[in-house]
Amino acid sequence: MVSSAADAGADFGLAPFSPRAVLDSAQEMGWPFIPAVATISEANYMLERGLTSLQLFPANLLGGLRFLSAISSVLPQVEFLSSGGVDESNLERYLESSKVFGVWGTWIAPRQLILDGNFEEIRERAFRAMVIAKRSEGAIAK
Amino acid sequence: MFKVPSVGDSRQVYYFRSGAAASKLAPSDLPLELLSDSRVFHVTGIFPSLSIQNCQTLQSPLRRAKKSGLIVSLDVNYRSVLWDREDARAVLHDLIKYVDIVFGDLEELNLLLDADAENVIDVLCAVIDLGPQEVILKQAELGATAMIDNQVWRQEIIEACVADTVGAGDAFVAGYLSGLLVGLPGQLRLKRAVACGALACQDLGDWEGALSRIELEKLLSSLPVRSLNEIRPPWSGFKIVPLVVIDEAEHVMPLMDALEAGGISIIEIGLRTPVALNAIRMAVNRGSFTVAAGAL
Repeated sequence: MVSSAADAGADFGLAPFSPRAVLDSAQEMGWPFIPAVATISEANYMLERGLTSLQLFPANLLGGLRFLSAISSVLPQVEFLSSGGVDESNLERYLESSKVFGVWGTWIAPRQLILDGNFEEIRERAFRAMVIAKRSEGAIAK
Repeated sequence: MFKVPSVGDSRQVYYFRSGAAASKLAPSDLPLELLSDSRVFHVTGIFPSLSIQNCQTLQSPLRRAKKSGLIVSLDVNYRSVLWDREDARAVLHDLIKYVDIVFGDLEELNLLLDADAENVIDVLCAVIDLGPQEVILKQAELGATAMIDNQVWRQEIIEACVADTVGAGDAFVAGYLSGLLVGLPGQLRLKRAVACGALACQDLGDWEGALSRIELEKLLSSLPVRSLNEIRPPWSGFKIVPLVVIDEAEHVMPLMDALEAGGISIIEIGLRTPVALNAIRMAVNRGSFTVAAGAL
């Protein structure tokens, strides 16, 4: 899977869970990969493998930002992308966290909208998300 | 050109190029029709260094290549015995607007920039600011570092028994461009380039060490690729990333157009459907997006 995705030209890979075989082949290939973790021990294991950019999944169910800052207090070198349960309503709070390098989610282009060919709605959702992202950047800068 | 066999680390190359046939080429001497079924037009800094006439001669194929949508590649290839830095900079600066891919060592890229920078990333970014989409820094025994579509890739050297380094630079470029022609992603083009450069050093001639494509692939697949360490991860700078599942390949283009119109230039395609890999290929080929494979 990893090599076929890399061969297809994907710039990097992610997974909601990260079997050791997937990690091994990505690291052997030198292909950038963001593994998913759900516990502090898992995050520490990834650190031992030299991986500092991790995915917290499912972020919201695990306790969201509060859990994230708990991990960060123990493992300060880790940064997270948040996915799972993030949408327009809570996006801004995630973006404002210094431990979150990105917020990823399906709310911008859900499967059904794509199937329906409702690309206008997807464009609007993308635009709204980017507006929130820009606004939060401004807020942090202040 | 004459090469004196190397003694220890010293190596001497003599050029007898002034007045040579290659310095008297006019646009009418060039078989421009070759451009019509080519995909890449490659030029090195040697050709315009040979005569003023050559600088002018280069203009028409470059314009034509650009107009026909060819990828234009430039190897700076600065030779101080052929022209001085100021002349070289003036001429190359004039050419750079046509160029998509630039190759050079640190000194050559600095020449292009009229700078004296040492930080590799700064130099790569500054060259990109001149217009090209890809810049490849040749670092001899340190391998190579490249900035390709805003991502930085690093390739360590591949061990070789060095007999003669003349020709390594051209072999490096040939490796890179051949990788481009067969559709390899950036990091694998870079790896192929470094391997070809290393192999060219193992023989006394310029090209005698070249392997067939099959031999090369075999060698590359046996090499540990972990020497490819990226410096700036491809996801850096993206705050919002849409995760998508593609059921129909025909949705890829309108979806990406819509995201782009909304200001997004990254996408994660989940490997959850039969068309997912194909969708990734389409997304990569579309360009101007960073593409991630999800649900691995």
